[in-house]
Formats: sequence, structure tokens, C-alpha cells
Amino acid sequence: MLHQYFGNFLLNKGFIDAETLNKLLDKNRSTRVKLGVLAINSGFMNAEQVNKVHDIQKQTDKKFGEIAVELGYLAESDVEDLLKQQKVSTVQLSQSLLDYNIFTLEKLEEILNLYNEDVVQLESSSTVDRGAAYELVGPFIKSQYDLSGIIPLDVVCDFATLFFRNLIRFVDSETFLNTAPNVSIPENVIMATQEVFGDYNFNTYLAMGTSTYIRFASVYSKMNISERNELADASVTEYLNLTNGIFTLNMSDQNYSVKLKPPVTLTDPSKLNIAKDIFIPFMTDLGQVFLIVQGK
Amino acid sequence: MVEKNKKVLVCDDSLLIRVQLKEFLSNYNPSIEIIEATNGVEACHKYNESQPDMVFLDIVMPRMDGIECLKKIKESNKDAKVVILSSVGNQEMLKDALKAGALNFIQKPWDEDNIKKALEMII
Repeated sequence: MLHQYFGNFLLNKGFIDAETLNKLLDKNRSTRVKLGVLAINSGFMNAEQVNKVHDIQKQTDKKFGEIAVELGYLAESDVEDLLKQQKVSTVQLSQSLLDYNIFTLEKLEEILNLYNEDVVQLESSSTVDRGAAYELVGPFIKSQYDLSGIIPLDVVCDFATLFFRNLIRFVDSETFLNTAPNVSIPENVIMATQEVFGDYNFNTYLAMGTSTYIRFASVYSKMNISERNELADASVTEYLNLTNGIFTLNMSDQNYSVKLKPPVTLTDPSKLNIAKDIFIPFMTDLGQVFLIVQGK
Repeated sequence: MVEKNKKVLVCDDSLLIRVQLKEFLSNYNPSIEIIEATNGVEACHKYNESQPDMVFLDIVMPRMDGIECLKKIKESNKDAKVVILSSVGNQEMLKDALKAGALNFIQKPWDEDNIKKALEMII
């Protein structure tokens, strides 16, 4: 299981039914998230502490943050950091769950703890954590490419980091970024490609030589695939689709809307623009694998 | 009286997902009759033709996407049991799917328990 949106988590675990969730999501965007929910979501405060601050608020003219700082529950810098998260979809949904009395504050805290435990478990199950992967991929991309005006480099770096971590998780735990000079696309290249559109617009390619492609398909599908056929293509395109799907989820968490077109397979490298596209080479024990991001 | 075998329609443009899901369903209950479709148009046609007890439906597909297909299936049978199975598990897609009448939204790669829970509604 990979990182999933909080709404899916609630539904899959049976904490809420589809009809109620549907109604809440309709109202979600206009929800004003309060500091108490942000503090519980971040693990800075528990429900009991939030309720205590609420009680004091009723008797004084002070703001939630002010009281929480006075009581030593939050530092002033915590309040600023928390307020930056007001647009995050998980906390918006959490606030809606309280506003419409679906859960009490205590129940919400319990559920958010379970959800956050899931996320932490996923983080620790990966060989390379997100921060370490970003430290490898980010500087490489930023030193080689200037995409100003096409796609924000931070978005490309986030995407490449996710791709890298998925290679480690699903394909080869020893995958590394191949920074050797003159690494080029092989002549017998096969590519899975998928268009990302919406608030950000770009094409993604997963490219590799034929023999690596077949081995990749076999490893990812956990099936015995010995030649390039429909199942091999389905396996490689599905890997790209999975990575792009998680990218849309990560973007949605930040309130950006990006969608995907169905992935397809290509063998003609003329679609690529060596001068403009971002080529990120990874070395796996199956061979050289390229992630290519093409601005539109 | 012998209960008739349950029918499940599996719609995904990826052969890999269809193969994996069919294998899981057959292992879960060999009596399930599995029908396959590779896009939304085909799924609507096969739904009307076979009236399956449950549908597992991808979203991002050629010709007709899963949300459009879900709406058409619900138009022809408002009680249709449709579970979305997609890698695009974001808030916007979940909202669209629930609004169109999906029973659940399972993110790929799927957790087998979530598929089992869905199947318990018909078996």
C-alpha cells in the first residue's frame, strides 16, 4: 500500500460511508481550518489540550495560538508553520468532519494518529527516505536544466524524487542516480509515456533499452516475461501510471489539480528533444533507466 | 435452491491489472464469473449485456474514462455496485467518483483486504 489521500483512508477503513464523505467533500474547499485541527494533525497537541484552550478562549479575549503558546503547548514558530498548512486537503477534510459533527475531537485525533502512523510506516519501509532522495536528485536537475517559465524546477525535482523512490521500492533497492557524463538513450529504446495536464503540463517518459525493458516488465509484474509483448508494455506503462498517480495525489495535497492521460508505449525517440527535455538517468541492476520530463 | 454464480466485471486498459485482478478473484472464489473490458465504452456495453453483480473500474482509460462510464452504468441501473480501482487517488477524483455513485475508491497498488471487503457485499 502506498500513501493515500485521507478521504480514501476513511472510506477504506470504514470510518465513514460514501454518501457522507461525498457531502463533506462538496463543502471542503470553503472550510476554514482552525489552529486546533492543524495542531492535532501535526502531533503538536492532543484533543484534551485543544479542548482546554477552547475552554479558556470562552473566558478571555485571546486567540487560540496565543493561549496555546502561553500554556507551553506550542512555540510561536509552530503557530506560523501550522497556519501555512491551512490549504492542505487532509486538514481541510479534518475540519469538515468536526464542523458537521461526524467525529468528536477525540475521535478525530485517534483516526489522524492511525493515518499518520500509516504514512510513517511507508516512509520507514523505503530504503531511501524522501529527504535523502531529494538531496541526490534535486541538485542534479537544478545544475543541468533551466526550465523557468515551463515547469517549476521544484515540481520536476519532487516528481523525479518520487520516481527514484519507486524504483528503489519496486524494481531494485540498489538503484542510484547515474551522474556519469555522456550517458545517452540507447538506439533500441522503448518508452512508456504519459501526459500530465492541469495546473502543470508536461509529458513523462520512462525509457530504456529493449533487454532492460523486458527485465523491468518481469520484475515489476512479478511474472515471467521473456519478450516484448502486450503484458510487458502493460507492466512498464503501469509502473509509470502508478508513479504519476501518486504525483497527482501529492499535488492534490497541496491543492493543485493535475490529471493524467492514458499511458502508451513508443519506440520512436524522435518525440524527444535532447536540447530541451530533462533526462534523469538511473542505474538499476536491470540496466540503465531514464526518466524524461518534457515541458509543454 | 442453488445460488447462481456471481459475475464481476473488471475494466482496466492495463492487461497487467486485468491479469492480476482476475487471478486474485479466482483464488478468492473460483465460482466468480469474470468479465473483462479494456475501456469505458466496452465496459458500458458489457455491463448492459451481462448485468454483473459488481464492477471494478479504472479511471484513466482511452475512449471513455471511468467516471463517465460509472455515470452511464448508474443511469442504466441506479443500484449498480461499482468500485473504483485507480492509481489517481486524489481528492478531486474521489469527489467525482462518489458524486457519480461509486461504492468505494481503492487506490492501486491495491490492498487485498479492501478488495475482499468490496466482494463481501455480493458474496
